Amino acid sequence: MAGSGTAHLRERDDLVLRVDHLVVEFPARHGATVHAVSDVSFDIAEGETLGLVGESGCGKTTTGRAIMQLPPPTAGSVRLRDTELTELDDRGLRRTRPQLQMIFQDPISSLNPRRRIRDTVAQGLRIWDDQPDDVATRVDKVLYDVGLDPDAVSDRRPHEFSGGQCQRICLARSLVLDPDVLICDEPVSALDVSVQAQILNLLEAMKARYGLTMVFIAHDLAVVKNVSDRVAVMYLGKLCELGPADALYEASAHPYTRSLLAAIPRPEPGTEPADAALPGELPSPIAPPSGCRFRTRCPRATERCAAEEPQMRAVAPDHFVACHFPHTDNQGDP
Amino acid sequence: MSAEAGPPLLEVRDLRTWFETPQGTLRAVDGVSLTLERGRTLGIVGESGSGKTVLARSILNLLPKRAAIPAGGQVLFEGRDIRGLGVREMRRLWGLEMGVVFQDPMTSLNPVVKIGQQLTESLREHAGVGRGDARATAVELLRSVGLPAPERRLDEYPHQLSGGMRQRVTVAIALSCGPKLLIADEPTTALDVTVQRQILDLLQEQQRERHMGMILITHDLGVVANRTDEIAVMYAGQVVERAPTETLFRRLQHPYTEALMGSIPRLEHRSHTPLRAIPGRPPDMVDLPEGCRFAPRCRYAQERCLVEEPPLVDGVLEGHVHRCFFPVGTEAGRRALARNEAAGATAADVVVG
Repeated sequence: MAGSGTAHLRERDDLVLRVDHLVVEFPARHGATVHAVSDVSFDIAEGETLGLVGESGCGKTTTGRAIMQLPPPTAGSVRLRDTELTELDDRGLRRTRPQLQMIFQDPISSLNPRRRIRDTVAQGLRIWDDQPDDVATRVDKVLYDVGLDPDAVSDRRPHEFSGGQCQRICLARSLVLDPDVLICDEPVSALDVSVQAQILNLLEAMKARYGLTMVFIAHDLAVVKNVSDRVAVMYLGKLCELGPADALYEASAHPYTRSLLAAIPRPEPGTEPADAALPGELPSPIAPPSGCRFRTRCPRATERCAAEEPQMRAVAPDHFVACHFPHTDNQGDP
Repeated sequence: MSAEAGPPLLEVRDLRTWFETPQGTLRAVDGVSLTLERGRTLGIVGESGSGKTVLARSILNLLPKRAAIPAGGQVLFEGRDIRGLGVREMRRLWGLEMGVVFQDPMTSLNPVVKIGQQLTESLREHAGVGRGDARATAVELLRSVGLPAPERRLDEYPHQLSGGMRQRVTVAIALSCGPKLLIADEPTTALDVTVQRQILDLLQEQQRERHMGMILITHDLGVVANRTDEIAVMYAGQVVERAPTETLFRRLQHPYTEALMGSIPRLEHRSHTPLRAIPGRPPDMVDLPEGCRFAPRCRYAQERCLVEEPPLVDGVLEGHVHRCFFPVGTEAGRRALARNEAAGATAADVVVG
């Protein structure tokens, strides 16, 4: 299988997470294979937020879970600072879990309905024999940090809270361990706009307070842009484009990124997109197209795109694209 | 507006739909008035629990009789009040005059019935079309909603189609008898953005071609911005602001609409721009606050807002109504905000920075 290249990887001393040639495959019926993630590489420096964006089936969630080794990837490497996560045994992996935490899309179903909030948040601290003696104080502090009143919520159970409050609790459960890396998988997609804004602001505040490095996975490009320093666009298990959040939106180079941006309905009259909607549907990940996986829907595709897989290459400083015919004009303020 | 004679296609007057719950009476829709002419599109925007879906179901007379209390008001379809109609008469209306598209196509389609049969059911039942003709019409309908290879699809089951294709089928079913009114309740919420774009294009194109009245219900102000003639913003069971689409976006007057706009992340803003989140949560619909329902979260709130419920009044521009004593963009609104900013908090103790 051809790779998507590694030109976008950086040589820096402050890298917290580095994912190299990540491949995740699942068995399907009749001996077929689902190619969920195919040779994806990226790195994240200390204090950075990397946004992973794409539509359903692009492999963004699988990538996030593969970083957590849930399940471990089929091939490739995931390094958390100096630790190679794919080589750890179960015990070693459990020992690194406090450094690597995750929050999910549906905050209500990711909390144990029978457990009091206090116990849910304290669980991560209590799980080891060497538990700290100030568990209760730490739990109270983290609940307060995420905007909940510890006295009012500690003894209650998840069903008494709204979706937004449950997401705060999930965040508290992760933060109490003082992690290095927080992976957020669609953390606001199940929430209403007004609550979504509260949680996004909270994530930004917690990132600063707890010194987090984040992977933010979402399908909504405006949400991803709001919280990310760099953004990686995925399509059918591959990276299309990666660059600084602002540059990616102002001068997107990959035709797929442009289609995605054009499809977003904007809350302003008179901004109806001029281009036609992206035709067709996502091909099957069991038999992905040869060459560039986006070619079957791409307005710029030629024979070359079917024969040869594009490799990541720089189009601007720190801005990379995997496309034979990228857009080079600045699309300016859309 | 409309040069057509006779009553409007749909007129909703002071509609109230309540539910009896163990906690008390839940006022899901509480005094909503709307008018929709033929060939026009009305957007209804609100967050979960604002009552927008119950409003749609009240218009369609699709609420469980045992649970819902029609607490008042009228739904006039071409001048006739349909609120008291029985199931027999409603079936005729549902079949021939009103089409509906729901959020989740997987649950609105029958998983064990072939696409073709689901599509032709109402044609054969209501329009008296025979089996052979119905099949030909079905192929035509599927083609018009952009489904590739329509002949083959007729013999397939819903699970064999993708989410976007399924939603195209539900649109085709809704359109099958040529309805005058199409209600689309969050039709694209379960879909990816590129597919959402395709389905919204399709709805708009069909609405124009068939000169239908359409109600587009969504939580996303972006979805209605370029696809509606008029927008009603709902909060806690009421329409808090209603205006022609252009007017609503250029000269919005209700603080809730302003707050909703402020909490949307925008592509044109630089990354890490803090969002203007709305503090607190929507009210408990069983135990509504006295006065204005938005006052406990509003930056403009004054003492009066906590004791007196604002009625629906005319806004600055034509066709614009809102429920607010201190509307955005007026002298009263500016003064109220300045007073709260000086005091550091509103009358409801919301911190204003």
